[in-house]
Amino acid sequence: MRWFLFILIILTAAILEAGNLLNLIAFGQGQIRPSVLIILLVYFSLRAAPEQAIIASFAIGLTADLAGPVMGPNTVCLGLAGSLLAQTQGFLSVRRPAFQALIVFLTALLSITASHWLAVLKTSSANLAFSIQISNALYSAAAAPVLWPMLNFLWKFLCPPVPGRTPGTRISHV
Amino acid sequence: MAARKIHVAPGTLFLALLIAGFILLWLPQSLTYHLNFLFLRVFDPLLRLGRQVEIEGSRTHSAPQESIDPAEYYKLKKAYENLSIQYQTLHRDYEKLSRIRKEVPLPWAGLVLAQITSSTRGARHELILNRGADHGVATGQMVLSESSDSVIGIVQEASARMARIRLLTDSAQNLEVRIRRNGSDREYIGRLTGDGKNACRISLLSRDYDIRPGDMVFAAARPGVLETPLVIGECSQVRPDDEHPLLWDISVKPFDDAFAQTVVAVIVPLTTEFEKKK
Repeated sequence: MRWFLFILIILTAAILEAGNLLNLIAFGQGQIRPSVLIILLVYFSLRAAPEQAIIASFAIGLTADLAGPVMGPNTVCLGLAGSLLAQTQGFLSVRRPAFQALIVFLTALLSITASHWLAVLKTSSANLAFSIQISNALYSAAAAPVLWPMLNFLWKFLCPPVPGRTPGTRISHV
Repeated sequence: MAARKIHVAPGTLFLALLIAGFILLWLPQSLTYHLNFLFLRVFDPLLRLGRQVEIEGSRTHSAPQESIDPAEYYKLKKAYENLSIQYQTLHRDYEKLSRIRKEVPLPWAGLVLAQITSSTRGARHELILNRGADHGVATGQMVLSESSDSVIGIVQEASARMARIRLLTDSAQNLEVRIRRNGSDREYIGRLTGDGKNACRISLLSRDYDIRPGDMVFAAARPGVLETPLVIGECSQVRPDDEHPLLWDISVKPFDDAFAQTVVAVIVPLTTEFEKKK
């Protein structure tokens, strides 16, 4: 994988999450926004080789922490979620948009909730209602099928095919 | 010569990164928040993108239908309420002074004007300012609106050159306030929390208290931070709490929309380290 390009992609996603641009498509007075980083997490976890998927997951988690107010919760939760997803590459098919949305929804809901409570443990301040967590996860799920073809396009630059090697079964079903 | 490839088993790699993540989580917030501020500083111009559109949007939506210019009305109302409560505080002090010999407290604060570099209006309601500890900004200080006449938030963290402000509308906000009616000496103490949207709430106040829509809400004075109360907004809705019918559920509408501001003022007490160094 071309890691420099990967870092550029996740930094762009982090800037979108930390900045104001996503507010233009947000609902509920800006509270409900899609999480681009979680969509990236699901995509890379299911597409990259296992070692690369683990590194990518923790890198995405670290970037999410940098873009937020507390360091640590997302690194642990997104790293864990991405690494677990990478183990399902052999039998989880995400070609259909509905499956993409479902997996993104479950990953987003679990990781947003878990990282929120880890942040509460660290800073003792809770500010995210469960209804908003579900709404954010749903919005991320709805956005996933839209972003998926773009990520497929970027993947060609991230991991150009090596001459003489077949992409293998892992890549063919994504 | 071919570059040597280091091969690490996926399990080992996962464990190593997970332990690193837990170490990052375990490190105190006072150490790690510098990294968050570094990110904000480096990508500041990019994070600002889209903010102008948001400000314009909130300005057009926030104008209530009044027969006089609403901006002028609220400006005068805030000035009047602030002057009124300052007058009452001074009057109380004067009465005390006339009874006992007491040294007049020092003029209490200076103001640091800061520009808003970015804002978060999602799960958190925050502003990032371009002033930090180097300018005397510290955790817990009050932040005022552009015209410096109503409280909009509290400094949550401050690095050397930046500060993160938790707005009153943030659902994690918890601030002691006073509720007072114009022309009345009686005031009620409550705790204000944000509703996560564009208003605040005060709960756990007994329905024995005579509180009505239109009563003013002030940030309570705190030694070293705020020596006289400052206006926040007014009670927009007062109704019995659904879960506890003996208590009020009060909605408070802040006077100023924090997201429509471009410049804010931080109240910096003269007793800060910054002033001592001077």
